[in-house]
Amino acid sequence: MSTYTIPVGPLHVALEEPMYFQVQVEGETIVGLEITAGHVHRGLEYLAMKRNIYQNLTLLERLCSLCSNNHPFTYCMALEKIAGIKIPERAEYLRVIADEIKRIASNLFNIAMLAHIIGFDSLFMHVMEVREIVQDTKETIYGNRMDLAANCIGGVKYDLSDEKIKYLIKQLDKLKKPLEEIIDIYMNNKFVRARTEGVGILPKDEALRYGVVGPVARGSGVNNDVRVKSPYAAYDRLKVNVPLETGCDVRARAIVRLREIQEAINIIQQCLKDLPDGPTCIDYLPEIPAGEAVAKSEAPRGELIYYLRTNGSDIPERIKWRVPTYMNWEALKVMMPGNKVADIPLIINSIDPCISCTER
Amino acid sequence: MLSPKGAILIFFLTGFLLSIIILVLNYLLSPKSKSLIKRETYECGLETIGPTWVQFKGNYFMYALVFVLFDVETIFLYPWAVRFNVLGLFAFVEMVIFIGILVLGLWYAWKEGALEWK
Amino acid sequence: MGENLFVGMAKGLRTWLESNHFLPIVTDVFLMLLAVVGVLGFLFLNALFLIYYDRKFGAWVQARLGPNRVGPRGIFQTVADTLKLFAKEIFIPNNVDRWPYLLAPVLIFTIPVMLFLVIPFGKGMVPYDLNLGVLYLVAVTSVETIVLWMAGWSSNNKYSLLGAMRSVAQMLSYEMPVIFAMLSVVMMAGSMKLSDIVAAQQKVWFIFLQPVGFLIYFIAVNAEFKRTPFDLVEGESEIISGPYTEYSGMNFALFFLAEYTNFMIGAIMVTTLFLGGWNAPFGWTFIPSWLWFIIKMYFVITLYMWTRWTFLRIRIDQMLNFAWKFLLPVSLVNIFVTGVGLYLYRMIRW
Repeated sequence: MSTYTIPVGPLHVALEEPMYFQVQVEGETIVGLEITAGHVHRGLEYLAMKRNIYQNLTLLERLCSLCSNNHPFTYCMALEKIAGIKIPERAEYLRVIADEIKRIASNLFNIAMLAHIIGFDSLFMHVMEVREIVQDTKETIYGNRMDLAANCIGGVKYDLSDEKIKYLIKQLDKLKKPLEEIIDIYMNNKFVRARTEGVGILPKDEALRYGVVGPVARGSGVNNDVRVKSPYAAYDRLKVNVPLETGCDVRARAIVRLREIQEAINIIQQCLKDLPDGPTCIDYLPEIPAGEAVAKSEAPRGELIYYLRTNGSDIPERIKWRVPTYMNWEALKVMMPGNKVADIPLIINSIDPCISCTER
Repeated sequence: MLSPKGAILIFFLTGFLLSIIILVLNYLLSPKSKSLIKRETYECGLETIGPTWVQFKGNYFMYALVFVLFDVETIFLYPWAVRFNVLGLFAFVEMVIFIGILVLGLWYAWKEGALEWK
Repeated sequence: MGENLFVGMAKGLRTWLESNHFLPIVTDVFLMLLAVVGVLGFLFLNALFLIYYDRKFGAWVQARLGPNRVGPRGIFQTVADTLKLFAKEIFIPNNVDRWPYLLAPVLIFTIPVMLFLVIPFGKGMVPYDLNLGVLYLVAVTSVETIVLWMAGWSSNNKYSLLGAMRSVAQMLSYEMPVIFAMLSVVMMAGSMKLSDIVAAQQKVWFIFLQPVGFLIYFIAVNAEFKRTPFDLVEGESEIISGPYTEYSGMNFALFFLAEYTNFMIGAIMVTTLFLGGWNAPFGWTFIPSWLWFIIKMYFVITLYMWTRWTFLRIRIDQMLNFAWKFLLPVSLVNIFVTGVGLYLYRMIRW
């Protein structure tokens, strides 16, 4: 008998968050995978149903760190749908800007982790250093490096003055050159290619069968970007190019993420160009009637869906969300077998798992 | 002069004893706590699944076999290499034969797939 | 004056001991013990500095600060770390194979100490000039495989086992290129004594006569001593820490120390075999030979660090393919070319 089981997680050096995989290994080759969830269950769904709709804004922002903007964003959209609020146009653009800035930071983080996992710590530090530009931008504009606290019901909590717009444009320009460099390394460096190419293959038909979302789907050539397929906020007025790769492997997903960063810069620039004047938030405290709504948005990891039901009181009756990782991690069962032990963390990282939103 | 064996022995004993002294010192200096959980095997914070001492895949042993063959052959090459400059044509012919055998062995192992990692 | 500092001291001591009518065996053993102490001093001082240097170099490559709190510019960081490890509890996990588990850290440190026996540190500064120096180095180095295997197997931990398996596969695969590259040097020098090899490089360093051999050796030694891109044995983001996973306190520190000492020996071997050992370049003999040796050693070490921070960890199948399907054939060809070259050279000369 040469098959044995090694645990990866819950506390493993290469995993950002506690998750638990039992990997069946034969020699160095993976033959099977079992995923056990529930190591960071914090009862957030229940907590959200104990707080009123305004408190939930703060709570949901703390659901997860890297996609923290998308949760209150989508939650607000669901609420606005129920209450029939039309938010000011400027707020829609500002929401997009906040969202895209978070996307840049999140994708850069994932790319950096990839470098760390393949043992390329110099590249890891380099990407993190480039990410610092985005972090500084966030701190300057929103006053916080992680949680932006940008959204509120009926609009956004922040505004961009001309000075800040100038600063933002400057920072984005600063980001472009190092980004090109990084993309070049990830696409052409022989060693990086050797480690990422042909690893963790998810064929297109399997991608469709598992219903994967976000960069994982786009790395397999499936375009299901919510920003294009069912535009929300200001995305219907913006030109969004969706980068598609057909490599179906870890490299393809990494390149999709990198291209998305470029695209995000592009989108922010478009937003800043046609940013309309006007208020950033509705000027009254809205009343939330009884009703239910589903809202979705494209988080850095893929499609995020919120279901919200209210009963006329200020405490939501039911709130539930489906996060992208939930769809993606089942696909690990297709990606893993046949790869080497060394690829386990690499493949796990390639779906960019966000366990704290998935297990709440 | 000391015999080579004596010199090697002195170096071996020093290294060996020094490590033991270091470990004993550490044992004397360090705190000791008795805790059952602490002494569990570290496998990502959970109990281990199944036995660790299993039969391992045969793949590694193919490499080991090829290695042993090559290693034994190369050991013969060393004395030859030392005298290479003195022996002349004979050594040269011998080298061609020897390396020929090695290349043949490598080619055969390659062909038979002993060098394929599965 | 600096040139004969250590040799002179040893000679003076020997004369003094002999004039006091000690038994010859006592004199020999005493001097050998002195050599061990010297080697250990060299080892510990350099290892302490090397760990600091490695971290600082890595920090410099990555545009960080690196250790900068303990002592001026953080120079005592390693000392502090060692003291910390001294105060850590040694515990033996349940279910381990007790004796191999305990013996492994002791032996892993013994090996590098033994390796220093034949290293020519300077003119006339060899602890013991073995006839079979090169073979001794190869033989003792490969014992490390068994020790790592002991550690990995006895730990009763799957990560350790995987790491041990990897280390065996890696050492076996890269042993061959190392042996062949050394063989080409032995052919050129006509001796396996390391001091003879150094002496043979008085005029031309072997790196110029054996560039391919040098490259093979440089790469293969990096793999033998498990540095990036060949650090799969530890593979920290995959298998935690490989065979060291279950060790704590000084047990772990000995592994760590051995790793850095091996790294040092790798650099020393490259220096001795290819960079002319303690020979001064351009006839700059105003710098003593042992200092040249250290300068060259640190030059090679810097090259290795540079490699480390520029490459990433390759996968096991790539590692094995590289050894068997690239390095080994190339080193065979190199031996052949060296043989033909030497033969032709002699024909022409005669």
